Amino acid sequence: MSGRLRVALVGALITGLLLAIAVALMASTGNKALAATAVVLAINVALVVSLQTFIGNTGILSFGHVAFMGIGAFTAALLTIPPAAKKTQLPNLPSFIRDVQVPPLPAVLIASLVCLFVAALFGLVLVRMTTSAMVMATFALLITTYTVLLNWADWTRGSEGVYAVPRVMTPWLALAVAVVFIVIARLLAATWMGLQARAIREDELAAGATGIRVRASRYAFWIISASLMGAAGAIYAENVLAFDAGQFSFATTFALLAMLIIGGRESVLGSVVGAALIVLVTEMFSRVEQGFSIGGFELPRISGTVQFVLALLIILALIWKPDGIVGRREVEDLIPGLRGWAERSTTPTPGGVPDRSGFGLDEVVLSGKNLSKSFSGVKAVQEIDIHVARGEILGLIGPNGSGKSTLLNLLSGLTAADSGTVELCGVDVTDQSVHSRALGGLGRTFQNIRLFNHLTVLDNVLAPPRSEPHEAAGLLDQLGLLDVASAEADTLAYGQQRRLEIARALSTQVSVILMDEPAAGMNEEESDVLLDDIRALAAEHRCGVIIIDHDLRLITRLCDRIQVLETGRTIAIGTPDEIVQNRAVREAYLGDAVGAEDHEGGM
Amino acid sequence: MGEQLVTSSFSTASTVVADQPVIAVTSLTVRYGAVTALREVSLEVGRGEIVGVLGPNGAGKSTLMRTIAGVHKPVTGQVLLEGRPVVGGAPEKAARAGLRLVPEGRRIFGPLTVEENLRIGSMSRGSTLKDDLEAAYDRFPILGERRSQSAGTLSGGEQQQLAIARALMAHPTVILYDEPSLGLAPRIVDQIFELIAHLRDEGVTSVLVEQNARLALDLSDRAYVLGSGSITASGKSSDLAKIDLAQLYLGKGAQR
Amino acid sequence: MTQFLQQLINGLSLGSIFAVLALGLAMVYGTLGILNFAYGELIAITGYTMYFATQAGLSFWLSALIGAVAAAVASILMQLLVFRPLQGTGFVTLLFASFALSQVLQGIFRQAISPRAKGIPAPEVLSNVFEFGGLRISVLNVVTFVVAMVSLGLFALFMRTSRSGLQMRAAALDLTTTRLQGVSAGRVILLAFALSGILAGIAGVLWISRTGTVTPTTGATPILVAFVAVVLGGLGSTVGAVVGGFVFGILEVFLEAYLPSGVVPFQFAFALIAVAVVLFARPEGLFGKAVEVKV
Repeated sequence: MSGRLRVALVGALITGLLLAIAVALMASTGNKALAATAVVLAINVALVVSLQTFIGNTGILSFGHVAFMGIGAFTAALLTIPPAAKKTQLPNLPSFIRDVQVPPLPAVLIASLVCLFVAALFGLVLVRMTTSAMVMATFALLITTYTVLLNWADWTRGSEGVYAVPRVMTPWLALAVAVVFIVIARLLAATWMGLQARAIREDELAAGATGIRVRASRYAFWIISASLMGAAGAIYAENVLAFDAGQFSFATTFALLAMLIIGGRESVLGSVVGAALIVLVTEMFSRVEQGFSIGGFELPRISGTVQFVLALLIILALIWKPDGIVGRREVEDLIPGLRGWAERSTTPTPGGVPDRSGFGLDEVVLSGKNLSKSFSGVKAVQEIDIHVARGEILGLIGPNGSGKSTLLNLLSGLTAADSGTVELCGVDVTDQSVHSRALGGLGRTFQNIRLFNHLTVLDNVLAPPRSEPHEAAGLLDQLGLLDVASAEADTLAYGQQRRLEIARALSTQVSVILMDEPAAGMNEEESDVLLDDIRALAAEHRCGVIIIDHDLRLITRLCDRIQVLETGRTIAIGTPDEIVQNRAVREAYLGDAVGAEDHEGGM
Repeated sequence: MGEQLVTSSFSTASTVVADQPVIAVTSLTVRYGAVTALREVSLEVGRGEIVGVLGPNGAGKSTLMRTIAGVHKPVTGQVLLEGRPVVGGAPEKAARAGLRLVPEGRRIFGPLTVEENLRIGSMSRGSTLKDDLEAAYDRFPILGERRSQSAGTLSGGEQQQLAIARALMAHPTVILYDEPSLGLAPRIVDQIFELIAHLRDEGVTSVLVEQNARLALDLSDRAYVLGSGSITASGKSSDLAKIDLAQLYLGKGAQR
Repeated sequence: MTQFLQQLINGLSLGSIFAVLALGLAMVYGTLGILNFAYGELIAITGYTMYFATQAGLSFWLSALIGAVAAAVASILMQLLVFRPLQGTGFVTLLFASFALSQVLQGIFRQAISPRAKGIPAPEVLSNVFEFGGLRISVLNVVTFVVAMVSLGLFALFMRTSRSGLQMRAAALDLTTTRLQGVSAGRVILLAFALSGILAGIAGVLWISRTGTVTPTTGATPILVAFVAVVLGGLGSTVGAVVGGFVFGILEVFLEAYLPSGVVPFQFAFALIAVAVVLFARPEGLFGKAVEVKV
């Protein structure tokens, strides 16, 4: 088992243990109400953890999960209620449903599958949208499902609801269920799927540029999380025994989201903490809702107090801690030494640098032919040819606005060319998406650094699909990042962030890497070191490099060839010496004719 | 080539006026997250001057302009505009105090018409809009012809004229030009620079950020050179023009 | 054919309410990027204000006016008390905060007023029906359509010709550059919330005239409709929001009229599924632009 999964499992079990202590304390008092609350807590944990699997990993808020809870609950009810009871409650039910009775566990699994199916269908539309539109779509899903559950009286009994679901839940069974959910959620998050989803959460664009399939990842988490929610809904049904469609609307959505967000939406521990806190507050205020007396003054029974107080607390909590109580931390981050113990021998050790010496150096790995692109009438790139060979470093220079970044975007597929073709390792990739080109061996860095900010340095280089885990440590070592491998990317110093971007691009088994101003914002010493590194990396990884920079000194020292752009066209191409002597280049860069006579010897 | 860069010749520059500087920047440090964009930058701009700010991309020129205009909040240091501190994070305040930024990439409102763009420029003033519009169209006839066209359909040079015209609608005392030559043909660049010189003659104090060093030094009275967030040289433009510009800013002071 | 025209008229009337609703929601999203979930509660606030005003003996029309103003005031207060302290915390946090705010308000309605529906009797003239070539047209439908269209027209006029409208259009395009022209961000944002509130108020009056009652959860349907219309039209497009509102209104009426009677209760669900199909073909919505990412 990989270290990451082991950490997740240990973390999940400790989180489960904390929950077990809470449940045991409540159940052992002998107080029936408290024992019931313990069950409610455990089931809420299962529900919130299911929700967290989607929201935490993808970063997309969903109002729609309670729909799956409802579908799961009604499926379980229809399957487990004894046929005799079904006959009286739902006389119009088709006989194949009416006459069956399924044991509780298979019912949960079937409920989960039904939700998987519904989510798979709805997900087809969902993942095509922008993230804010997705939020609203999930809300519409909630309402649609609610409307159906409420009105489909032949199957659900509408607002009257169903009853006589056989009782199975005990505090200990509910606890076991919750722990299973916690383990599933933690393990799922620890797989490459979880890592990729979080990379997308941090930066959709950069994730695509490393080859991650954004829609596929979101789709996967959507249906997995919906199936979990369906199972949790079924278990909910097997505890409450009687319920109606009204349970699966705003109030429940709100309560579950409150647990998730107050606890910390990016952490499974947060879900547990949030659930515990809200269940506690709810219990307290439910008493108020029942009406009670203080000092002889009889308070009336007030309905809706719970929701009101919760909502108020949530607004305050959001202002106080927008990321939730535990933030992004999991339980192993809170217990000193635990992560180290669980990771043991799996800390990255350098070595295993890939051997790519078999690749021929004169092979052209990336070429663009006759590329043009206009933006609202402005010709950003006009009929440019460009190519780079394995092991070669091509400098791309030109004044601001000359079309360098646009050209890079055309090559990487971020922008579609108006005309012209792009070939990657001999394959025409003109019509391929960004992530296909990335999978084909094209890596890039961005002018404004785009890292997966809240992932660790190591995770940044492990997230790309073609990343080789055993090479990651070696790569970090080469770029001087091994010491900070477990730090979050956004805590790095600027120069380190730039290097990490390069490491991430290299981790995808690149044949060619595009660098957009890698030395921008570095001082001279830093950029000198970077220069040596880039040269060494290009040679070792046998990849071609296209590099944009404004610093002529850096470019002339680093590059084998230089291509100069001005107003979207190539004005010169040649060796560094040729370029430095080129009159057109000096004019473009320094303004009007700067004669070589001003300073013999040149730069 | 061992000549020393000309430094701190500010006190000897003949263009310095006796009264307080229009803009006084003292030891300004600006950070974005982990990145220090400006380190301890100080500069002054006297009334009626054109001051150039040169340097390679990523040197912090735009950040400096945006900080002077009140967009960014500095970590340390301050910007005084006519002796009053500029509030970081509230660009509308500096704008109302008579400062205009002609931003990099022009930043015109593409879907709005030319005339609407100009009207937004005059938002900090209450009145005489009609006269201002007429004056703008007199100065930039092409904008007059296209007044009801959406600004996004203008050519690059026309958009730059619009950006400057928009700034002038406020009758500013100082204009910061951030790379006005960006992406324009040389002939158009000449026109824009003539215009900037002309506006100076009308009494508008100007700060000119340029990558095109020759152009900037020809036009400006004094200049500062920015490299990696710090001022690496400053002085009269005519003095700066004598030294090796390539060395000065393309090569960060080093040579091959 | 008559049947068709009849439904079209009903659909246009309902759609015009939805259009006003959606526009108000789109307004704040366009300027600030906030999806205000508590927008639906502005409808309830309008309703309760109308209820208390009519109870106090004011005329229906005056009550309606006060109700619309109350929504605008409430909208401004939302910005000042909730959204401004949360400035810069991101889309999800703001959205959830607005969701919480909507729950707080529903709680207040429930506790301070009543969990039960309160009736607001509309003037009898509104329920009059006149016949026209076989069509039955209620005065309410006509008034609704006229009020909504006049509101939309005035809104467009305000945005096109006034100084403030110009500022808001510019701010929605590029807030920083607008501020660099001396336009105060705080003022523009407050104005966006005020306008959003007024639109909610107008839509609220029309909605309440139709339902005749107000409950703590009166806002639930309107907010859903506004969400759907805004996504259908294209997030960030005010024209799209208006069109989306009309399309959704007409769709709902037609589904109600032409669906077999057994499935009419699911009419709303069918409408949403129809919208989902449109979005499958055009994920950016009818008037939305595919997002151009700048690197």
